[in-house]
Amino acid sequence: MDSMTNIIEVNNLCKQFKVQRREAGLAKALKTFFSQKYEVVDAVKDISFNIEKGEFIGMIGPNGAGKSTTIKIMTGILVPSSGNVKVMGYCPWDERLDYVKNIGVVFGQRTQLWWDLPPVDSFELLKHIYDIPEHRFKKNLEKFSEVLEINKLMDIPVRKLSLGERMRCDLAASLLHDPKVLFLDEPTIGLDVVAKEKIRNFLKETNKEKKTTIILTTHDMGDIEELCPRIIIIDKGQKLYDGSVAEIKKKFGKERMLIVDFVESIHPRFDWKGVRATEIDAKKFKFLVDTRMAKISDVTKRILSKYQVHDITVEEPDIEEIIRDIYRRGLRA
Amino acid sequence: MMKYLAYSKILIISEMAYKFEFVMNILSTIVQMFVLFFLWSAIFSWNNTATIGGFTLSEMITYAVVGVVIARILNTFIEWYIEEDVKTGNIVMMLTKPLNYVWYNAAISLGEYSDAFIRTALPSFIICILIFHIFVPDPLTLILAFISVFLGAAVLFLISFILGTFAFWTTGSIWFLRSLKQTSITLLSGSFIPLAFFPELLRNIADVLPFQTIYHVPLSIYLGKISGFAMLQAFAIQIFWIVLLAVIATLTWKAARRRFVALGG
Repeated sequence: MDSMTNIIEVNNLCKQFKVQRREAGLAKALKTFFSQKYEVVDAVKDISFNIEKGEFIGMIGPNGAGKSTTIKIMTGILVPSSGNVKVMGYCPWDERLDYVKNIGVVFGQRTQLWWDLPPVDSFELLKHIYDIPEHRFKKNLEKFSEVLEINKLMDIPVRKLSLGERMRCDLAASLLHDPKVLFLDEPTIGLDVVAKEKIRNFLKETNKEKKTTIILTTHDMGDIEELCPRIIIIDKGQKLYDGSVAEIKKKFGKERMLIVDFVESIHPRFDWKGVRATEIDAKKFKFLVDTRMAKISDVTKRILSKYQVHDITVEEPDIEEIIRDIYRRGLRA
Repeated sequence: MMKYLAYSKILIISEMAYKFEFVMNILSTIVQMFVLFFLWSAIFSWNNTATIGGFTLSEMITYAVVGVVIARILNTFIEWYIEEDVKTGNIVMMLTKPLNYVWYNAAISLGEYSDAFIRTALPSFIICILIFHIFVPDPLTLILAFISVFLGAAVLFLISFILGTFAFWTTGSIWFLRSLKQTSITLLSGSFIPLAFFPELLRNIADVLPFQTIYHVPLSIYLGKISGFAMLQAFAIQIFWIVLLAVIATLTWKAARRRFVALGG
């Protein structure tokens, strides 16, 4: 990759935390009061990647994998134990005050809006904080109100907004100053389908029109499939995968899923080569068939010859299935 | 600078959301003034003296009542706000803004002070002039006393900010630290009893602590108890404490930031 086009460069990033150990019970609590014990935990272990201008990156991984820590380092909130990060030429934690003028940040479970005030007051405040020229502020706000459909929410106190409404306002707030890079930490968490859709459309458009580089962490594979051509999978503080979603589907999506409804409850053992069976309930089984080792047609035949069957459906495992599998078993294909 | 003042402004707007709070504030202020008025009148008549510690009854009532007005302005919740930021993790949002956290909090405090001044202290002051016929100095002295209140407010903010940063080590200690601060202020600032009434030892302790710059200095200027060179000296002491506490605040904030980074937020 040409380093000229890289807007973000992360090299050998490591972060260790001191975690306080607290044991249960009063006596133990008193003990820890006098001698606090710390344990060093590796949250991020030697992660490197580059991101080009205008990319839309999905960062995924189970809870506690190190995604949020990585984002917090990239946004200048945390300082790594070792390693380098350059975003637009800035070192995020050393040059924090200058650097953060150029980025937008949304944390799904937090808000930067003032609780007792309507969003418009918070927007006005941000205009001063980022020194946004009046005409640009107006133009952006108009655009956002239209696309995010927040014009009707402008003068309702934030505490009275629904989670989805608030998140739309928070997104608008994070983009008022036209940041070149946008960091989103689980922006769709807890939102309903409609709200998610609105946010996804808005992000897609922002990425396309303004060439804003977007880094998104999420647990929602729908976000990933709709938005991110490239994903970085992080687990136990390490980078497991960095590449396109299409690639991972091709590489790991060699399994087909067979869902079989049996007429009677059965207690069989299916130890066929290339087939992994899991019980859904006594009468319903899920078979993961590795198409390199076993043919779908053969497996179906064998099942039909042995048991009475109501229904069989064949499904391609979706990305969620693939990812779950990667979390569980690592990258061994 | 403008961006910080924007925070002062939004805090005032935010406080305005609680519309009727200020009516209650003014009423409770007036009640408090009446209590002090009767208390000091009783003390003077029991002792049957014209002056106590160099104060006449009318001076004492002015001291007590104006002290209540200042107390209405100086009502900062900075240590609680910082604790909230730490507890809720909102500190993370603050760190993604192009802001210095100390200045940000100073701006919030300024907003609190301004709101309290406009909506509670100023009306209470006018009402107490009408009810108690307190002594009002000449405009210049009034302005100097006001400047002194402002400097005292800065001292109070810095003390509160320093206490607030303790939240990074242990949340839950803030309530205790705030009580300790309030007690120290009540006892050692001259807000409740003029320092002139103190036994020598206590007076000496009060003199070397920053709390007396919050009430004793502005009230003494207001009453004309200190003027000329002594007033300049008092201002210098206020500024000395502001500089010293600002250095300490910067250091404790840096330490808090280091701790935050080590524990990972």
